[in-house]
Amino acid sequence: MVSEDEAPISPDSSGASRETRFTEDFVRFAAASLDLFCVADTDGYFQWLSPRWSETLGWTDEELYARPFVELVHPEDVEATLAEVKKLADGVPTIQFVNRYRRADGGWTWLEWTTTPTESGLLYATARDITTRMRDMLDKEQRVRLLELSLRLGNLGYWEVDVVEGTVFWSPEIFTIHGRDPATYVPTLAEGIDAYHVDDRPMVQQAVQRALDHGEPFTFEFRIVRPNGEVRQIESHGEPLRDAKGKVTGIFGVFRDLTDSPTFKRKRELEQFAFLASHDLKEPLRTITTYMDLLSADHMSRLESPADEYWKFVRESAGRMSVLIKDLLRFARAGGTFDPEPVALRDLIPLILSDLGLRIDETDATIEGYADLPTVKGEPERLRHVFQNLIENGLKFCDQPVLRFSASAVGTQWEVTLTDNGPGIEPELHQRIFEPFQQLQHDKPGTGMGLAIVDRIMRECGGNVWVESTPGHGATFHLVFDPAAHVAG
Amino acid sequence: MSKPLVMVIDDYAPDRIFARIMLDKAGCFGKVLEVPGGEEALALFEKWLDDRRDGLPDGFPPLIVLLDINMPRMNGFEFLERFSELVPRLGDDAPFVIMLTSSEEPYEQARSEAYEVVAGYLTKPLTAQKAMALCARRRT
Repeated sequence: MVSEDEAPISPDSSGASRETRFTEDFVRFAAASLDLFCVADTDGYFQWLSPRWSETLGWTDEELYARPFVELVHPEDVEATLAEVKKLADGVPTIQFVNRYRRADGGWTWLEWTTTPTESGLLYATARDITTRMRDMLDKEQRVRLLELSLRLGNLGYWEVDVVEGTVFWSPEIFTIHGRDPATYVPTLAEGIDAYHVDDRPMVQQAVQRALDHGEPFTFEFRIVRPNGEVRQIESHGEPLRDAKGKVTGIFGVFRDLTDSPTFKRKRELEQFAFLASHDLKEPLRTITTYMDLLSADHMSRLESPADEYWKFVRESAGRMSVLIKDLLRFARAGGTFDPEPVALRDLIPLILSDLGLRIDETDATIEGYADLPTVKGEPERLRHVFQNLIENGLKFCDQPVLRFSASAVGTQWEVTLTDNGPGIEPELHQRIFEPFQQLQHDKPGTGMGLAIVDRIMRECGGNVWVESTPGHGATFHLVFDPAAHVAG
Repeated sequence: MSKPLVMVIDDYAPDRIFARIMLDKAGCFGKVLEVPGGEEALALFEKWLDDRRDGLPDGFPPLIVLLDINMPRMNGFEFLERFSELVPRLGDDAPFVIMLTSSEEPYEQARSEAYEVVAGYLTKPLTAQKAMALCARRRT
């Protein structure tokens, strides 16, 4: 506080009266303050304004003094402002009243007021510019609302697991997904995994463990079994929760219930159909082939020409059908969930080649370049099927086949190519060959399922496959994989 | 000592007959008793336990029961449920139950093997090789 004896001296104030000096000092303080100072009357006009006002609002002092201040107040705030002024006129001070003032640039400045009325009818006020704070707050509110809206629209639920505190948080949607009543059910760490389909538990546990141990985010599909036995297909995204020091303390993420999405329903129906059809076809066919083999073992020698040849046709067709059904089953199952792991292609290809040994010798084929192939993310059995299929195709369609592997890094992924010296594929078939039951040449053996299965497996592994070919100049199959590093553990 | 009896429980005659042919070829078994369903099989065991042994084949109870899973009326699991109750009464005469099914589903195998009485899981067809392997089964 300023005592009368030691009144502050401003550099150019010598000779001025103490009162004037004091006023000048006050004006300097007001100018230096982050807050806006003013004196107004209860008629609604500013009587005095600190320089901050024109700096903040962009109006000149003349413009500010010329009209009732309420004219600058945001229409939505006018009523509340007039009520506040009325209270002040009755001698009630204002604390933390907030309204918006129009700026010269057309925008609005949020002001928070502290005002003291005097008996003379003057209002002594300080206002603080809280525009930034309000905008942040509104942004946050809006972001939260937007997030909630997105969650609802996307059939998404939000969850959080804190392993340090041992707490689990579920948003209402997560309760719905689990078929649990938020009023009676309390989610716990220990019981969490019990709700998951027994086949999916190892995969989920591994992903969660990796997130906790190495802070790796995850994305996978799995199944939740509700207490009533209903199975829901869930897409899960999770990220590590960290404390201030960066140590992982838990996981948060979202679930999306895919069960009722038209895409998933169609996919599941198709899979069920393919599975049931192929399963039911397998049974009678097995009886046919087992008895035909019994016949050939015990009675073949008694068959005369051409009956023995007819028998062979029948047996061959049954064998072909058996392969087709097996492929169909494999196609239906390629969609199933599996646990991705690193697969060293340079080790996998020789295994396939040794399986195909005789076929390779018969066709006098050259197969090269596989020693330099990378290790990718996949599942050995499925990838074996992918490469076996592509190699068999190459052997089938080429005379003196030369099949060449190569690999290159594309972005964060691996692209493996297999080039053959076959007849090539017409451009209009480049897409169609990956659809089920598409046979390019009916005189060649095969079920037309091979590349459909390849395509399916590649997509399930998080990659894809396409072909590049000019008729007459061979074909190159491109396979894009996630690198094995994406499978941690 | 006479060769042991084998029971094949399967609703599908061609599969039953094929299993019988292969068991015959294996040469180590006596009669193969073909039963078209679980109820009929249970009735035979209950009859034997009640000492009403007229009409039961010689050598009953069998050493091995080959059991299909997917059957109408009573499926393989329902049979195992009921049959497990009879096992204590059969004592040392209780047979080995070997599943013989077209199902390659791991969960069906796991579910089968959860029954104490189940001693094996085979997928159809019962080849000569699989039948031969069964010859090693002996009562202890």
